[in-house]
Amino acid sequence: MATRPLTRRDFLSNGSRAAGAAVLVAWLGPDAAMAAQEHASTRALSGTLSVFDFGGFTGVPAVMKDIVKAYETLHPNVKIQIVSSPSGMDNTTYTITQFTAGTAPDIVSPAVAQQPWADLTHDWWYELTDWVHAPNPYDAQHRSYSALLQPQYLEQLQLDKRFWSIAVTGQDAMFFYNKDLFAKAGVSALPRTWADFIAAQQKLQKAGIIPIAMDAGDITFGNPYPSIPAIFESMTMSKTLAKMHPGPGLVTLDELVSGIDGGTFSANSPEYQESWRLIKSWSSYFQRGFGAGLGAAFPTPAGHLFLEGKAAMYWAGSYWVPIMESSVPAAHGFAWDVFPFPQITPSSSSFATPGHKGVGVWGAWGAVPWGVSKAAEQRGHLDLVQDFLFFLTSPNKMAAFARDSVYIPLGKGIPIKGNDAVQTTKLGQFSKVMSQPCSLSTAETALGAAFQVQRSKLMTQYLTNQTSLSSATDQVQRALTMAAKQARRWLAVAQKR
Amino acid sequence: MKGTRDVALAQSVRERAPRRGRLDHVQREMRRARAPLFFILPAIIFAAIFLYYPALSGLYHAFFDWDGVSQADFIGLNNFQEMMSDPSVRTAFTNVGKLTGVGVVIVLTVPLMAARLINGIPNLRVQYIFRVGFVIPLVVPNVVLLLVWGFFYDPTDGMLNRLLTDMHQSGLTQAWLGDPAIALYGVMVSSSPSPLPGFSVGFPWVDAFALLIYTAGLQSIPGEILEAAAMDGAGARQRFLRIELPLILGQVRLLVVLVIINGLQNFTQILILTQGGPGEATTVPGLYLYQQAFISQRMGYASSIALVLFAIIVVLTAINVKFIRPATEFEGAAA
Repeated sequence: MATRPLTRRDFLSNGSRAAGAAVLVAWLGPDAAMAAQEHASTRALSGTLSVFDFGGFTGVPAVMKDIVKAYETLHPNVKIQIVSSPSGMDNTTYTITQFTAGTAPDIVSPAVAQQPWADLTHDWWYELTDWVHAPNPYDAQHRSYSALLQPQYLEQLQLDKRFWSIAVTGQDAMFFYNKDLFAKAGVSALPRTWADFIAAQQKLQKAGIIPIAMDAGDITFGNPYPSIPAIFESMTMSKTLAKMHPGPGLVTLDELVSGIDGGTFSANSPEYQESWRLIKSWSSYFQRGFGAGLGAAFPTPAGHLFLEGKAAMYWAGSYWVPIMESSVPAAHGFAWDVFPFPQITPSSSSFATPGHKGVGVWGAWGAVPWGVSKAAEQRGHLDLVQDFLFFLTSPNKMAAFARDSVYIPLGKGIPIKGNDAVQTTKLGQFSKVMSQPCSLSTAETALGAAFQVQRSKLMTQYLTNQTSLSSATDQVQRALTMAAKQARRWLAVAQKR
Repeated sequence: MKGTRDVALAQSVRERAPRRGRLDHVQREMRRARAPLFFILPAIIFAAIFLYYPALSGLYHAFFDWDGVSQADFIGLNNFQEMMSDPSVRTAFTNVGKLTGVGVVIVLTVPLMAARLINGIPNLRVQYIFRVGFVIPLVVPNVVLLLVWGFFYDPTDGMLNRLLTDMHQSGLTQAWLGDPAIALYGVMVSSSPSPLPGFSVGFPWVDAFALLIYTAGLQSIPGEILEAAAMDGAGARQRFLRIELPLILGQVRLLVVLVIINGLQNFTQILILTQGGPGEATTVPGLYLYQQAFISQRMGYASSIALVLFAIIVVLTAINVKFIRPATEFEGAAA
């Protein structure tokens, strides 16, 4: 193993040398380029690298195992150890414990409820900004990760233009719908606007069909229902958001925090309250008892309603595609498809503005990201870690990940490929949604789990008439203020570096 | 002079002798207990590390702003002040009060009645069969029972609503766990606190643990007393109220204390069944403090909720111990 920790400078100089050599041999011919690539990547690397993989929802994906095998073949002196959290232990608790003790694995895949920048004050994660822009020796053209990724996803992964985690795949949410029930209720065209959407639900309700199954009691951070208010807010608050973030792109965490602190972004504003009013009027089409808290069962009761052909629509993530494929034909056999969240237009709300708005809610942070622990630096594993990350993020490995894990690739030109033709088609539809995130999705998510959980609880209380709109948004405002205060601390650390 | 000294010395020796004897006795006992102490030491060490240290740490951190990892900042009583104005805390304590109150009433009635009925069966073999019948469900994991209740309550497909519909009572069907007005009652029916830590008991609420404790208590009452009462003309009801019940108050006290502790502390059943929802309609302090500690990373605030919970449990337990006393305890009777 390397005797001293490799510094960022060492690393970049190695990368630059490799890139220079690659340009030279690329000029000499493809075989030489391949040889140079091998040379660049097989520099004296040895040791054991630990990788914590929370495994998404299905355990360590097979592709990860294949990639580890390929890497170990390429570097015979390197052993990669995939670590999982002990049985029965929550992933977040496991990683926090390991970070606190300074014994975290070298590469850590943060759990869904974790944002590496929320840990900036603890100094647990190694900053990857230089790595993100460094040439990748495993790419024939030695493009950096930032050059390989589609720009909108790069934007979702950064905090003040700095990076503490990376990802190669993502996912997003859409409406799954039962084509047979739509036809039975006489809904012929897919709703594109909010007015169409409500009209379609009225028809479904009149036909005695549950228009939509919604997990409206779910308070789990990052789940479909807790993520949905960001779309509404992005549509009804577009004028305010344009002030907070002039020009294209997403509202950043910094901008959102400034908006909250300065009072520009307020839960008590009429435009914010409008978004909640719209959700409330929409909830009259949800299934009976929609606010029930989600128990341990999966699929959820709402999911079951849809799978059993009793509800016409269900709001879920792309992970639901294989579940539909495996459950529906066998048991209930109805035709289904997906459609994106409809556009709220001025005809439905005076706060809405004309023009198409993004309706993606998750994107790059929605799948399996990776970060590097500071413990890796202390162990002198930095060179190995970064080389392995280059290997993982090379275009062919990005493509392999997309093929294997039913996630959507984030890399430029990486084809979408599910396990079969249906998955490929559906994931293509999700990919379109994912490539256009709603303005607030990333920044609101970045405010952290505590805020989103509190907002979801308050939303359900409001929808189930336990509290008034003003009382609910007043409490949301308090939660926003608290979250902004916390985020300000992370930003201060990020900006100080 | 010498004689005086001798008398004083003799007196001193007489005075010291019993003290010295006691000391020797203690030393002898210590020597004798060395081996057991040695064997119990690991348990004491682990209890200190995993039980007492976290408890004391919680007590200490209730006065700090602490995320569980970073430097803790002393904030005095701020956490407690925040609790006073936190509507979620108010809702959670109200809910747990209702749940625990119902749990106490249940443990005082249903398993006691069942135990009395079983104890009254003359055939011991039949008694045994009934006891086993009530205890067998203990082997089914509580999570499974709760999931079954979840399906039972399902507003669309649940057995309860289907039953009502089949009985032409569609108007009575409800979103049992989805309607905030009735969700807590749904929880009471399906998962009332059990005296057995970590367990809950659903309708018909014959808690196996309580049943066994009551049965043990009833069986420990000497038969002669009951026979004498019968000969004096006391009926079954009188025998139960005037003799059996006063004599098993030790068991009653134990079960009430356990239900209060378990009811106030436990939240896993709520987490599995409703996640505290809809909104916060079924939230309890244990669940709220768990969310504050592990989702919001507010260990200090969570510790302050835990401290208040601890204080309530101590007070209720003390009241219970002080006021519920058995008339007599017979050998073999628990508690």
